Amino acid sequence: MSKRQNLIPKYIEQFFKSCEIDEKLNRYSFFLIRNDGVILYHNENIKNSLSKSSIGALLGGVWQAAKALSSFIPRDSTDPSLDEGYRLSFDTTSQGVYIVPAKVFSEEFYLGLIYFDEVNPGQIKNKIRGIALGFSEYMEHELKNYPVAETATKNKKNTDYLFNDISDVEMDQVFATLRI
Amino acid sequence: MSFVNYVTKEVNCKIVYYGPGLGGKTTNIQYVYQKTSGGNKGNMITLNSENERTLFFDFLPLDLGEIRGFKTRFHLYTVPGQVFYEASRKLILRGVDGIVFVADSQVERMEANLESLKSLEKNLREQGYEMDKIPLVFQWNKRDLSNTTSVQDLHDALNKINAQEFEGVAVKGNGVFETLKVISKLVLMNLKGGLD
Repeated sequence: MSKRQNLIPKYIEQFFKSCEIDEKLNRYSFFLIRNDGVILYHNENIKNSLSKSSIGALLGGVWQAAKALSSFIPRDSTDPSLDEGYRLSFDTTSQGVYIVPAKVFSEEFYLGLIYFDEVNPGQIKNKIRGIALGFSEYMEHELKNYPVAETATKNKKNTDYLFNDISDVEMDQVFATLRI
Repeated sequence: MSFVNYVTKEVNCKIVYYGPGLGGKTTNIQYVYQKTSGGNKGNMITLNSENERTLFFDFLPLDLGEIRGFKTRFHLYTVPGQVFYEASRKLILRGVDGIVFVADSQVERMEANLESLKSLEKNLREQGYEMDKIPLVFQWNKRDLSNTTSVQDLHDALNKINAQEFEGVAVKGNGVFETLKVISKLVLMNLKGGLD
């Protein structure tokens, strides 16, 4: 685990503490996720933490699928105007799901919003985009000394492992809570 | 890629069940879902076609016990097995920490097993993983059927990397938790945690 990876949860927590989230937005559920669907932050509007995991996986999955689909859009790679960020919206006039990316150097995170009974969805989407932008700026400032995301997991020394040798007894204890 | 949160003392890991279509990947995690008490599992998400074939992925979040003070949470995914869903499989493999290759033991499915394994190797390589370095176990599923390839022949044909392997009858639960326990252990032992 790199220093950068250790710092990310701390800075995320700090960002959302310092950020004044609109009261209207807080009525709904929003999530900050990694590109693999792991939830890094949520605003506590869904109490069951395992449901949150499912939401994270779906938000991550739907974004990845949409991004893969977007690669079929014919484009001129030299046209810089086509580099503007995508957003993903699945909605009716009053409820829906909205996802925006928040880039921190080369690493992408996503802010997902699930809303309902909303008379002005455009306004809350705009607020989410504002949070995403603020998040990118804040994180890039805090992580300026660690701009590169850790990608390689190989060629590390054994001393870098979080748990060296795990015994079968320890694994039995890990699974004992399952109450199969 | 796994996520270790030192603030909340939690580890999140992603395990993907891979293998040919109708081999029993979904059945494995359905069994885990059915046999796990409510507090430890979340909603099982299935994105299926009308005939109940996996269209995008199945997903089951599972909270396990603590290890050395860290809470463990596993995200179990299955990929769609049918050949033409290759793009979906690539997406689901992103950030994988461990793989269960569920092979169909039936003689006539050997070709499908080989094709699926080849696709796994290729997809992993594209994402910078090597099959013999990433935590991986094999499950020879459907051992209760009469027309099965012998375990030795499955091993010789598919398990060139000498990974751990298990016999399974996923519909009855045989081998399901044994497989999960071992892949979970391999994944946890592979977590990088040296604080620099």
